Amino acid sequence: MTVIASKGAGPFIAPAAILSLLVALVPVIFIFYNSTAGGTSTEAFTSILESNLFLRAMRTTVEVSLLASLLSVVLGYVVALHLARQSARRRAALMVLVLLPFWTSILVKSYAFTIILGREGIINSFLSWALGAEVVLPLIFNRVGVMVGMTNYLTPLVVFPVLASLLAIDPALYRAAEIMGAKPARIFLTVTLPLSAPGVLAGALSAAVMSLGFFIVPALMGGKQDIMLANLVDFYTREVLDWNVASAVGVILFALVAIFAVPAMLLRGKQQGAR
Amino acid sequence: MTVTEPNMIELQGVSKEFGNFLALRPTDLNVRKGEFLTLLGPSGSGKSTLLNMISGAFAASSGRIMLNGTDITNAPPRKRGIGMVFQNYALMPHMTAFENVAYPLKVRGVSKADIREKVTDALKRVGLAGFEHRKPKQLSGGQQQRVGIARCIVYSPSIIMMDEPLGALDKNLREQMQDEIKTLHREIGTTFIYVTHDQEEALNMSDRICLMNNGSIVQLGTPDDLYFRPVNKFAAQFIGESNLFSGKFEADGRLKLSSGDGLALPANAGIAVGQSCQVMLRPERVKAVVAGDAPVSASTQSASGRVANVSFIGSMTSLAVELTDGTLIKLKLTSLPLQSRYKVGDAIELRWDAEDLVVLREEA
Amino acid sequence: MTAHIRDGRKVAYRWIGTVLAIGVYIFLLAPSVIVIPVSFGSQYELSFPPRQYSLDLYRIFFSSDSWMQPLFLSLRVALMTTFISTVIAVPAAYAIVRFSFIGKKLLMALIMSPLVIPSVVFALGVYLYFSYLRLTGTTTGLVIAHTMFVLPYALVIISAGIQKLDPNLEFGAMLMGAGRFRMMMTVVLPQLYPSIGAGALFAFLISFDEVVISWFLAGPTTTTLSVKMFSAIQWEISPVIAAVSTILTAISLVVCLVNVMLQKKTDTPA
Repeated sequence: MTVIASKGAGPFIAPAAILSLLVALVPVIFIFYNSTAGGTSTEAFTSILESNLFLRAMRTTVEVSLLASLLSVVLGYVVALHLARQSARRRAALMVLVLLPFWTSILVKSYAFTIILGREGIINSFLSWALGAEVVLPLIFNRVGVMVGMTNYLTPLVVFPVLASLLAIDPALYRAAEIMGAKPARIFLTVTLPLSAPGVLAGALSAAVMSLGFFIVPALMGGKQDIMLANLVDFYTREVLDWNVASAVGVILFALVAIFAVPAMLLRGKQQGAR
Repeated sequence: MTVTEPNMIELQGVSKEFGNFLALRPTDLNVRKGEFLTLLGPSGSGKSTLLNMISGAFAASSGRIMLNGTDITNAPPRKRGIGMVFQNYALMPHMTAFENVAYPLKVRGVSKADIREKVTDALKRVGLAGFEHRKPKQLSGGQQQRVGIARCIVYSPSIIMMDEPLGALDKNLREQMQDEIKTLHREIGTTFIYVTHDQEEALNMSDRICLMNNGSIVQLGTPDDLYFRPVNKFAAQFIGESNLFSGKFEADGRLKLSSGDGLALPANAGIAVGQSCQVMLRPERVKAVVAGDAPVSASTQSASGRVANVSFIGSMTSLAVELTDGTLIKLKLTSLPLQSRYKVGDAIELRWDAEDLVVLREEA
Repeated sequence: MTAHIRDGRKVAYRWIGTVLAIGVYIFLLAPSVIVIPVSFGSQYELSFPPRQYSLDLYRIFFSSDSWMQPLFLSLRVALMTTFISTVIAVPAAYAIVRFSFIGKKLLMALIMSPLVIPSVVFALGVYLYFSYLRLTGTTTGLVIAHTMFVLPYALVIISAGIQKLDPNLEFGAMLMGAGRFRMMMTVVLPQLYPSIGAGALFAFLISFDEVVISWFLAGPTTTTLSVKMFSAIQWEISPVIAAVSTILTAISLVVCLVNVMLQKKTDTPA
């Protein structure tokens, strides 16, 4: 980092600082304040910890997030590996196939998946036609739908860091391993995989951070059983109109995300420091 | 040099094209068993291309490559059983020195006990005993390259190739490691193929040097051959310093220079009268005449002139002398202190032996 | 490339890898692409592929107030958000890249926090806060919240652009007597247009597509297009949504191409 001066940053940074203090910090304070009814009571927390609805949503959130993150790491790795092996020009062209989904609205995707996975959707119609019998696989408005939607959303997020770490591997290492007699599978396991591990970890953590707070996908592609914490926040805010409980759920979600976000940030700092 | 030594590597008409670019013209080259052969040349000369085809990094466009009597032209690198040391070390950054050296043995399914013994031995041989648990990042450049060498000798490959292995090191370390590699070659007796663009490195280390330029071999021979008997202008200029003269060969056995008097050529020059040619004279073979020097022998030639430039570069001082006929000639003298050194404008008389003139071939 | 030696084992692995990758590409792209043919189908049924093609769905979309009002609101909010966030992000990015100051890391963490905090949590916080300020259900509220939400994205892209500039040019301008403001306007900004443009484009799309915060803040007169779409998908799977989706995908494609061009530029060092 090139530092011209250490004084005089004030006017440059002030608008961003004021905005983030007022619109990022204060709202978080509001949530913490409301969750304890102004610091006077833990009732909101005790009531949700006794509620089956909350406990089930909590379990669903953790299960779905971990599984979706795992799936998207696998799919993202496949794509990143393919991209890493292309020439720079072809890679730039193929990146469109990852960037278009990345930039596509989650609403468009959710809607499209209802067309693809629905009772009379593309997959069921195709299977019915192919098998010559009525097939109605339950692919959406259940856990399967949530997993499909979340994995689809998260995979591009994993591709970027994994690709970066794959491209950072010195190609001479592959040549050296080959000359020393290693077969492709061994080279993958002893060179490619361990050296791309930082990218995988970064991808997995950011996928986990994203998925824990998912709201749209469970709402549009899940069933009643698949309500996640984010949906519960919405439910308590708009349906029950209990802001204290909604805030308490928000605080717990916030803490849950921090478990993954803090190592993700430390990892990023470490990688930047190493460069 | 004994002719009975079998060839370790035989290249038969091997060439390489990248698109329309001919990186290596069809080339024949035999590498003898146990020899230290250096591929020397400027960048883009085709030396690395040649090395990469022997290692299997890419396929030859034509020709055959034989390794120890087996055709390996289309064999993937892992089946060739070759060892390679890289310029930038190519050590696995996530493995310790021990694990790096153990890698080729693990690949070969060697037992754990044997691995421990062989790796320890190889690291000791390159002077890195006690560094087993360091990661490459915790080692200096020289140490990393020693790991690279240990990783190579540990599995006794049939040949060891080194691609500018000392290119990333500073001068003193480079010279020290040159000697280490030479000693290693003497001790293990494996065939070495060494790539460099540094002529001193090549002269110092090699049994034979293969000088390359523009995708083909210019000259193949011992360091002496290349230094004292360069075949053409490129060879003469790439290795060492040289005075070049061109002119026409005349009936009296002299070369009529385009400017000036003319030089007598050695008796064995074998050039037809009337043919134009180029000759080379190494600057250190030119002597400055001092009063009381031995009388001139039959083959000695002399010329006088004025010192045009003096460069004091340590042990040697090089002079540029403008002869009375206008020809410029360089010579190298053992350095003397300033007061007794030649100065610009000093009159000087030069002498050299006609036998030191080397007739150069026209370049292809 | 034919230059490599054919290694049967390697070829087999490559082949498997490519087939798997193509499978994932299809999975990733399918939802973005599938809406396009559907959007040209009939208004009475939702089928793929459509039995007959028409522009009915687009006609309905563009002629119904219940879609047009949210569309214009979203455009207004996204444009204002883009403008304000860019104006804030450019000097902030400059300060972050070129200055060191006390509390920089803490401030950075705060500015970047919308990237990490679940948007539902952020939305709830803003909702509670804006209820207190009586800003819920107003366009102003939406713009303020969106500006904070897109700021980290704009900041990251513009900072990357500044990092590539040669600080000696700025230093030189100031040696020649230019004040900081003049130097900024004459030296930094002209070199920074591509990054600012990209940052603004990303900010626009992120605001335009944003659902969760808008969902919490929306009032009867401030329903954004995404909120309208969200409830429409939830309650009635109307074919008109396919037309909206296609329009959104088209915008995404533009942003995606800009993104690719931006990556190409950074791939090849000057």
